[in-house]
Amino acid sequence: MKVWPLKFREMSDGSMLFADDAGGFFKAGEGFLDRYATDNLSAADRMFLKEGSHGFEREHDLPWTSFAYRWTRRQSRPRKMNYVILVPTLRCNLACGYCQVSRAPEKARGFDWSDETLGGVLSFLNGLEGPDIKIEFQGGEPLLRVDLLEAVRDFCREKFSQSQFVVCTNLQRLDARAWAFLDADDTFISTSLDGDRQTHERQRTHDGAVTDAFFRNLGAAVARYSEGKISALPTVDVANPPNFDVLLDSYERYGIRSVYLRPINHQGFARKLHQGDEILARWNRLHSEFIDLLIARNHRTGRFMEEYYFSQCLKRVLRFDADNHVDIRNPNFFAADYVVIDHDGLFYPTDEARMLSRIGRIDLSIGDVATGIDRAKVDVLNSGAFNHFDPDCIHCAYQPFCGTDVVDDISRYGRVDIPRPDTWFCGRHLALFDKVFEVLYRKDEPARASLAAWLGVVAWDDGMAPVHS
Amino acid sequence: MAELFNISGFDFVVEIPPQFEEYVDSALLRLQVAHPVCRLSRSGKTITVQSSKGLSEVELRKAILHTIYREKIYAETLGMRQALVEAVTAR
Repeated sequence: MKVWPLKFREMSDGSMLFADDAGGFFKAGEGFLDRYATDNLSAADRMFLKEGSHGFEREHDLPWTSFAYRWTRRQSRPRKMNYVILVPTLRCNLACGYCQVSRAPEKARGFDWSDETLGGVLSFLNGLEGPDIKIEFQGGEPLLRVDLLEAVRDFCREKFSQSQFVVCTNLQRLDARAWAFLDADDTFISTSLDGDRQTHERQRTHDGAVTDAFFRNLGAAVARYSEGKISALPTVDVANPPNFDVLLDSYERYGIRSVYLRPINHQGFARKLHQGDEILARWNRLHSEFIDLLIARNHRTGRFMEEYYFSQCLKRVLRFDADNHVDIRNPNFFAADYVVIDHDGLFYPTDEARMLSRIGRIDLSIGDVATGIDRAKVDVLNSGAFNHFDPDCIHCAYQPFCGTDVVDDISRYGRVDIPRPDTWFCGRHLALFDKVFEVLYRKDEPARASLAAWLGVVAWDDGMAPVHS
Repeated sequence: MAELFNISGFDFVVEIPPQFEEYVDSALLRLQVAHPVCRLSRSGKTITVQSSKGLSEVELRKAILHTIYREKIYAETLGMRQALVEAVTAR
């Protein structure tokens, strides 16, 4: 039997995790590694590898073809463009200290789509083949231009058989027209909730009356709409993190069970904020503690909450099809199935690329609505859009589950050829997947229950985390 | 498997079994990036480790062996990977 290449990583408990390129994984001891590397596999080793589909006899035999199928399913397939992030205005009625883009004051001029830009956006949307579309309205505060949102939504409802709209709003000021826009069943709300009232006010609203208005509107929206209509995410300052118990209570109070814990984004102006030394290590520690807290809390309350990105990484380990989050998939080709259109009609491959361009670090725009997407520039970016043969990733046990982030590398290091282990992206995801596998192999009841809930399965089965003893 | 010896003037020496010799040079390149404070040099069938201050001998020994293992696995299975990619991307 020929064995597909196994990548390995020593875990915190001293055991070794092995994974093949198709994402098949198991734990074993150092002895197995020695036997594998020295071509001295025992009969029991070979039996285990055969039963785990880690080997084959001949190219194109059934085990080989099965592996090829699983490898292929691990790849993010190119899809038709069906997700467009629109920035109809950069103006905002808040001035958060860590605003991730260069928001413009509410009364400023020249930061909204012109009539020509709106026409260009609709023309671009009209050129998409469909049949479905998801539009995310970003800003600034998009509800400052409900008229533009209405124009896009009306157009999409006509053009596409299925359409969905997400308004990323600070929920600060909602007039009757804004409520009417949000009332539609195909329209969803994404907002920011940084934890308890004090944290939210310190980081965002800076004023008691403004904070009152936010919580009043959030409460009204929760009362008005069914669960699932509203999502929220907190931005966490590692130098001054919120009390996570209080944060979870706050989210649950508003019926939001999925919390996407985000560090302050480095791509925009927030990079200037001083968060102290060893930010990555502190972030990884905080995140790990948050997962432990969630597992214990879920077990205690019987009401399951999740950290969205951790669940996404967990699904990527155990499922084929967890490619719906644009921050982590592989390959992650740019301007393939989603794109960003800024307030001036420029296309960007990602929202982070837009932020990075706005601070003047580099121009990552890839065309505009008048002339179309600049495919030559996209091709340059796409040269780093996959991790398969990266000289570091190819040895990494987490490669099949992980991704790349060219824009983050450019943002932090000004180049894309930094050794992977030296990058923020790699450091964050090594820690994330370390945590995923730690939880997968914990085998205590609280962990099992949360794993099942996060994966959407009836019950956890220990066979899903194989061990070769 | 490789053995370690405490030698005056060096921190230690790792002996490389014959089956891993051809992977040592590529492994050393990677090790020097991962452990820039160490001086790693090859002399025949051994790797000499100097200035490993701050890193335990056990950790370094493991890192060296694992890196050589990885290079061997990579080199020996590259053809499999190429055949796989060729097969699944063929039109």
